[in-house]
Amino acid sequence: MVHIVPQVDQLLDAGVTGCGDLLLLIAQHMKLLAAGKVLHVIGYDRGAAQDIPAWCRMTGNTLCYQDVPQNPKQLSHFYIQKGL
Amino acid sequence: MAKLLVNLTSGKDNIDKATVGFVVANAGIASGQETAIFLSIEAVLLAQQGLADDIHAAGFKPLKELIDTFIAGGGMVWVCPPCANIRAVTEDTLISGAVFAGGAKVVEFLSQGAGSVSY
Repeated sequence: MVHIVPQVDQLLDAGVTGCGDLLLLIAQHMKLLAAGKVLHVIGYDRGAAQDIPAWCRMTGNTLCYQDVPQNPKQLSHFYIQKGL
Repeated sequence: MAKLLVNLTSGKDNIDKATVGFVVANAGIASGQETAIFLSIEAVLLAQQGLADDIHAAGFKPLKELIDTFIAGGGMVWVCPPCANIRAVTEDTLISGAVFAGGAKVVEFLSQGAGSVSY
Protein backbone atom coordinates (compact mmCIF):
# COMPACT_ATOMS: atom_id res chain seq x y z
CA MET A 1 0.00 0.00 0.00
CA VAL A 2 1.27 3.46 -0.89
CA HIS A 3 1.32 5.65 2.20
CA ILE A 4 0.84 8.98 0.49
CA VAL A 5 -2.49 10.59 -0.29
CA PRO A 6 -2.95 10.33 -4.07
CA GLN A 7 -4.45 12.91 -6.35
CA VAL A 8 -8.22 12.59 -6.31
CA ASP A 9 -10.35 12.44 -9.46
CA GLN A 10 -13.75 12.06 -7.84
CA LEU A 11 -15.17 12.42 -4.34
CA LEU A 12 -17.89 10.20 -2.90
CA ASP A 13 -19.45 11.36 0.35
CA ALA A 14 -21.12 8.15 1.53
CA GLY A 15 -22.41 9.57 4.80
CA VAL A 16 -23.78 6.82 7.02
CA THR A 17 -24.23 4.34 4.17
CA GLY A 18 -22.75 0.97 5.09
CA CYS A 19 -22.32 -2.70 4.29
CA GLY A 20 -23.77 -3.77 0.91
CA ASP A 21 -25.29 -0.36 0.21
CA LEU A 22 -21.89 1.29 0.53
CA LEU A 23 -20.32 -1.24 -1.82
CA LEU A 24 -23.00 -0.63 -4.43
CA LEU A 25 -22.44 3.09 -4.17
CA ILE A 26 -18.69 2.68 -4.60
CA ALA A 27 -19.15 0.29 -7.52
CA GLN A 28 -21.48 2.73 -9.28
CA HIS A 29 -18.97 5.56 -8.93
CA MET A 30 -16.02 3.43 -9.97
CA LYS A 31 -17.83 2.41 -13.17
CA LEU A 32 -17.75 6.01 -14.30
CA LEU A 33 -14.00 6.37 -13.80
CA ALA A 34 -11.29 5.49 -16.28
CA ALA A 35 -8.54 3.05 -15.31
CA GLY A 36 -5.96 4.64 -13.04
CA LYS A 37 -8.29 7.32 -11.73
CA VAL A 38 -8.83 7.69 -8.00
CA LEU A 39 -12.07 7.78 -6.04
CA HIS A 40 -11.97 9.34 -2.58
CA VAL A 41 -14.63 7.78 -0.36
CA ILE A 42 -15.56 9.39 2.96
CA GLY A 43 -18.10 8.09 5.41
CA TYR A 44 -18.97 6.84 8.86
CA ASP A 45 -19.45 3.11 8.25
CA ARG A 46 -17.60 1.27 10.99
CA GLY A 47 -17.23 -1.84 8.88
CA ALA A 48 -15.63 -0.01 5.98
CA ALA A 49 -12.12 -0.59 7.30
CA GLN A 50 -12.71 -4.30 6.74
CA ASP A 51 -15.09 -4.13 3.80
CA ILE A 52 -13.41 -1.68 1.43
CA PRO A 53 -10.03 -3.47 1.41
CA ALA A 54 -11.87 -6.77 0.81
CA TRP A 55 -13.92 -5.22 -1.99
CA CYS A 56 -10.76 -3.86 -3.63
CA ARG A 57 -9.07 -7.27 -3.48
CA MET A 58 -12.08 -8.90 -5.12
CA THR A 59 -12.60 -6.33 -7.85
CA GLY A 60 -9.04 -5.65 -8.96
CA ASN A 61 -8.97 -2.09 -7.72
CA THR A 62 -6.20 -0.69 -5.54
CA LEU A 63 -6.69 0.82 -2.11
CA CYS A 64 -3.95 3.43 -2.26
CA TYR A 65 -4.47 4.95 1.15
CA GLN A 66 -6.89 4.83 4.06
CA ASP A 67 -7.36 6.92 7.16
CA VAL A 68 -9.65 5.32 9.73
CA PRO A 69 -9.77 7.26 13.01
CA GLN A 70 -10.15 5.44 16.33
CA ASN A 71 -13.08 7.66 17.15
CA PRO A 72 -16.10 6.22 15.28
CA LYS A 73 -17.72 9.64 15.25
CA GLN A 74 -14.99 10.91 12.94
CA LEU A 75 -15.06 10.36 9.19
CA SER A 76 -13.01 7.64 7.55
CA HIS A 77 -11.24 8.25 4.24
CA PHE A 78 -10.41 5.73 1.52
CA TYR A 79 -8.59 6.37 -1.76
CA ILE A 80 -9.33 3.74 -4.40
CA GLN A 81 -7.54 3.63 -7.73
CA LYS A 82 -9.46 1.95 -10.52
CA GLY A 83 -7.73 -1.13 -11.88
CA LEU A 84 -6.75 -1.62 -15.49
CA MET B 1 -6.52 -24.28 5.44
CA ALA B 2 -10.18 -24.74 4.54
CA LYS B 3 -12.66 -22.09 5.58
CA LEU B 4 -16.03 -22.12 7.33
CA LEU B 5 -18.47 -19.25 7.65
CA VAL B 6 -21.25 -19.46 10.22
CA ASN B 7 -24.00 -16.96 9.50
CA LEU B 8 -25.91 -16.19 12.70
CA THR B 9 -28.97 -13.94 12.78
CA SER B 10 -30.44 -14.79 16.19
CA GLY B 11 -29.56 -13.62 19.67
CA LYS B 12 -31.71 -13.57 22.75
CA ASP B 13 -34.76 -13.91 20.51
CA ASN B 14 -33.76 -17.53 19.87
CA ILE B 15 -31.09 -18.77 22.26
CA ASP B 16 -31.06 -22.23 20.68
CA LYS B 17 -30.02 -20.84 17.31
CA ALA B 18 -27.53 -18.45 18.91
CA THR B 19 -25.97 -21.28 20.87
CA VAL B 20 -25.85 -23.83 18.07
CA GLY B 21 -24.26 -21.25 15.80
CA PHE B 22 -21.31 -20.95 18.16
CA VAL B 23 -21.23 -24.71 18.81
CA VAL B 24 -20.79 -25.33 15.09
CA ALA B 25 -18.29 -22.48 14.83
CA ASN B 26 -16.26 -24.15 17.56
CA ALA B 27 -16.51 -27.42 15.65
CA GLY B 28 -14.91 -25.57 12.76
CA ILE B 29 -12.04 -24.40 14.95
CA ALA B 30 -11.63 -27.88 16.41
CA SER B 31 -11.50 -29.29 12.89
CA GLY B 32 -8.68 -27.01 11.83
CA GLN B 33 -10.85 -24.75 9.67
CA GLU B 34 -10.30 -21.02 9.36
CA THR B 35 -13.62 -20.05 10.88
CA ALA B 36 -15.59 -16.81 10.96
CA ILE B 37 -18.99 -16.13 12.44
CA PHE B 38 -20.98 -13.29 10.93
CA LEU B 39 -23.40 -11.73 13.39
CA SER B 40 -26.29 -9.86 11.83
CA ILE B 41 -29.81 -8.77 12.79
CA GLU B 42 -30.48 -9.73 16.46
CA ALA B 43 -27.21 -11.64 16.73
CA VAL B 44 -25.16 -8.42 16.79
CA LEU B 45 -26.21 -8.01 20.42
CA LEU B 46 -24.20 -11.13 21.29
CA ALA B 47 -21.07 -9.11 20.55
CA GLN B 48 -21.96 -6.52 23.15
CA GLN B 49 -20.18 -6.98 26.48
CA GLY B 50 -22.37 -8.74 29.00
CA LEU B 51 -25.33 -9.46 26.74
CA ALA B 52 -24.53 -13.13 26.26
CA ASP B 53 -23.50 -13.76 29.86
CA ASP B 54 -26.84 -15.14 31.01
CA ILE B 55 -27.70 -17.19 27.92
CA HIS B 56 -27.61 -20.91 28.57
CA ALA B 57 -29.59 -23.13 26.23
CA ALA B 58 -30.51 -26.55 27.58
CA GLY B 59 -28.12 -29.25 26.49
CA PHE B 60 -25.24 -26.93 25.68
CA LYS B 61 -22.48 -25.02 27.45
CA PRO B 62 -23.25 -21.42 28.43
CA LEU B 63 -23.02 -19.14 25.41
CA LYS B 64 -20.35 -16.90 26.92
CA GLU B 65 -18.11 -19.92 27.37
CA LEU B 66 -18.70 -20.94 23.76
CA ILE B 67 -17.89 -17.43 22.52
CA ASP B 68 -14.75 -17.19 24.65
CA THR B 69 -13.58 -20.59 23.43
CA PHE B 70 -14.20 -19.61 19.82
CA ILE B 71 -12.23 -16.38 20.05
CA ALA B 72 -9.42 -17.96 22.04
CA GLY B 73 -9.15 -20.61 19.34
CA GLY B 74 -8.58 -18.03 16.65
CA GLY B 75 -12.15 -17.69 15.44
CA MET B 76 -13.15 -14.42 13.81
CA VAL B 77 -16.29 -12.58 14.94
CA TRP B 78 -17.66 -10.16 12.34
CA VAL B 79 -20.42 -7.79 13.36
CA CYS B 80 -22.74 -6.28 10.73
CA PRO B 81 -22.34 -2.50 11.04
CA PRO B 82 -25.83 -1.33 10.01
CA CYS B 83 -27.47 -4.00 12.20
CA ALA B 84 -25.30 -2.81 15.10
CA ASN B 85 -26.07 0.84 14.46
CA ILE B 86 -29.80 0.43 14.85
CA ARG B 87 -29.31 -1.59 18.04
CA ALA B 88 -26.86 0.92 19.56
CA VAL B 89 -23.96 -1.53 19.63
CA THR B 90 -20.79 0.54 19.64
CA GLU B 91 -17.03 -0.07 19.43
CA ASP B 92 -16.43 0.61 23.08
CA THR B 93 -18.96 -2.02 24.15
CA LEU B 94 -17.84 -4.79 21.78
CA ILE B 95 -16.38 -7.94 23.27
CA SER B 96 -12.66 -8.38 22.73
CA GLY B 97 -12.02 -10.12 19.44
CA ALA B 98 -15.12 -8.88 17.62
CA VAL B 99 -14.84 -6.39 14.78
CA PHE B 100 -17.29 -4.55 12.59
CA ALA B 101 -17.25 -6.07 9.12
CA GLY B 102 -19.98 -6.33 6.54
CA GLY B 103 -20.89 -7.68 3.17
CA ALA B 104 -17.55 -7.45 1.42
CA LYS B 105 -15.73 -9.48 4.08
CA VAL B 106 -18.43 -12.13 3.90
CA VAL B 107 -18.41 -12.26 0.11
CA GLU B 108 -14.62 -12.36 -0.06
CA PHE B 109 -14.49 -15.22 2.45
CA LEU B 110 -17.09 -17.18 0.51
CA SER B 111 -15.36 -16.45 -2.80
CA GLN B 112 -12.21 -17.98 -1.32
CA GLY B 113 -14.04 -21.26 -0.98
CA ALA B 114 -15.52 -21.06 2.50
CA GLY B 115 -18.38 -23.37 3.22
CA SER B 116 -21.24 -21.78 5.08
CA VAL B 117 -24.03 -22.70 7.44
CA SER B 118 -26.77 -20.39 8.69
CA TYR B 119 -28.75 -20.19 11.91
